[in-house]
Amino acid sequence: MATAFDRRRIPAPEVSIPPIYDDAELEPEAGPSTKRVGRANDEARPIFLKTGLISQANGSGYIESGGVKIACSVYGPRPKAPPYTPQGTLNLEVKFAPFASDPRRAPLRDTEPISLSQLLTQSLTPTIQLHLFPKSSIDVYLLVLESDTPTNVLSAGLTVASAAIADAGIAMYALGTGSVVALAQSTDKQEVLLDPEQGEEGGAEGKVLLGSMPALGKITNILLEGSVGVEQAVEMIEKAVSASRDTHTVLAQSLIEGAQERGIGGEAE
Amino acid sequence: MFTIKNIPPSSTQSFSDDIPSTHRRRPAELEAMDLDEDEFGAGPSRRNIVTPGEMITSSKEYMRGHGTYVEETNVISSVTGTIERVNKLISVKPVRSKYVPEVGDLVIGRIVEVGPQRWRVDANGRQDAVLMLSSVNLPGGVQRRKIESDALKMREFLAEGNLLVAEVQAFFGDGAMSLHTRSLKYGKLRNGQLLTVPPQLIRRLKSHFHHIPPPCGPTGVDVILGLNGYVWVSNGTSQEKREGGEGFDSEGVYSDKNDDIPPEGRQAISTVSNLIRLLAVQGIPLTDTLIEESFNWLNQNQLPPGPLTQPDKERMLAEVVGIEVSA
Repeated sequence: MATAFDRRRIPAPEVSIPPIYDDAELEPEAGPSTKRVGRANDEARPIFLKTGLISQANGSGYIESGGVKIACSVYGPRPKAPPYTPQGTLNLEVKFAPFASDPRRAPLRDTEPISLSQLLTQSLTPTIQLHLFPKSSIDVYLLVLESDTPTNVLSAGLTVASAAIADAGIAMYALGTGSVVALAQSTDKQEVLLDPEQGEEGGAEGKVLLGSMPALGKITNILLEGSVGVEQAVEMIEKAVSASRDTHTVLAQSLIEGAQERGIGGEAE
Repeated sequence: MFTIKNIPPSSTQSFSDDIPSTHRRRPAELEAMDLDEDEFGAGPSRRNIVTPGEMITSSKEYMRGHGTYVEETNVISSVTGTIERVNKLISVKPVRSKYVPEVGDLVIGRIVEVGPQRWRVDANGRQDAVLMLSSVNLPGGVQRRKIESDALKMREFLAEGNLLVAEVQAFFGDGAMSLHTRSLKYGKLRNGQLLTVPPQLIRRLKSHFHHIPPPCGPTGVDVILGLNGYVWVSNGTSQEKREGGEGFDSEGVYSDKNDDIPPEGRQAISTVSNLIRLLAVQGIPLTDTLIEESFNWLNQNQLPPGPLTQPDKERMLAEVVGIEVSA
């Protein structure tokens, strides 16, 4: 056991006891039939998005969306080491802060970010005009500060990465946005839930993650998990498409505000 | 005079019917520009910002410029920025991006690698710039073919980490720039300090070498505004040296040694650097007159040396530039 001890990190106490709550404060067990409270089934949670917060990066963005907080920085286009490529390459790396999820993540031994990075690269690549950047690489780093489900991280990650790439002034086809829809089995009928929370997604029959470019009406990636009928799948995708338009508004607005803060266009002068 | 037709919704555009009004005002915006064409570009307040993927206008009536692409029959923006139009050419100028070089631009760069017959230079572009051994002036001043012994001595002239000022000579096939220093104005930099500002803030000027005369330090301060956003602030030199005339020390061109700079000279360099940083943070385009005026303002107000206090910064910006800034 002594070999596994990492001297660079502050060790946790050997014994710990979970806090005891009053029964009244306990949240209801997340079951498959919980009714959504506080918002409608087709209502997404508000998004906070801001660009240009990381000064040393060529472009950056920060998003808070539901239970997810991500900081994204973009470096490039910058020269790439040989072998030379006629098109630009997109390097995307997702990293979780140790405190980003519950239970805490073991540093370095975490394998989840690798698959998330691959999925995110797949959704993001069609939005960038990579043919304009021969022999160059565009490096995108996403640091997840808070997370609930991997699907929500992907959805928010796609939106914030688009914002950061646009902030870096890199040529794109359109802004990419992510949206999530889940199909929940209620006692009597099935319900399509937009932007599901952790409990809702856990008890869902299936879920769809949609990457899209709402400005062009194009879809970059669909990820469907679970078992869903064809008609329901179509309904879920349509819900996700209409939700992505709202996300696009927030995204475009934050870019315009970011530009105006630098004294360009609109109200300035 | 031409008018803009309403484009019938194509298969892709029908999707974006629900896109909020902020994303669909482009044709009307352009029409407004047409009405007073003579005043186009007179003030930035009239311009509008577009985001990537936003339709600007029809490609049947306009040509696409930088920052746009054509999809079906629409000109679509590919960056976040302001719409610019020259007659029928529509382009979008990005709010912030890497330096986009043009032949003849004056740039400041840093050597990153010494290679065969060439140096690789970081000039804030998409690709590292290249400075060929054949496009530099060697000590001695005589124009001659470079021979093998020159190639072996390349690191003595310019080593990794050295800064230089050069001009963009040409482009390679992949868009990387080729530099030259074939003028006595160009070459290795010393006796000063490098600043990095967004390249959009440097305008193309008649001359990018400026001299702020004393009382700004005992010998004045030289400022070189590189179009790639690198700014060199250094101890002032004499008139002849600046213009590379008589008495020009051709042997000292590749010297690594800084001259002795008195404390007042160092103070002046950092004062000018601070002013440039302050203007750059506010997104104000840098010109020689602006830098000199802001220094004169400091001088008239008899402010103590050292960084400006917040109220002084705001006063300076209000009185010299004429913008209101609140913390």
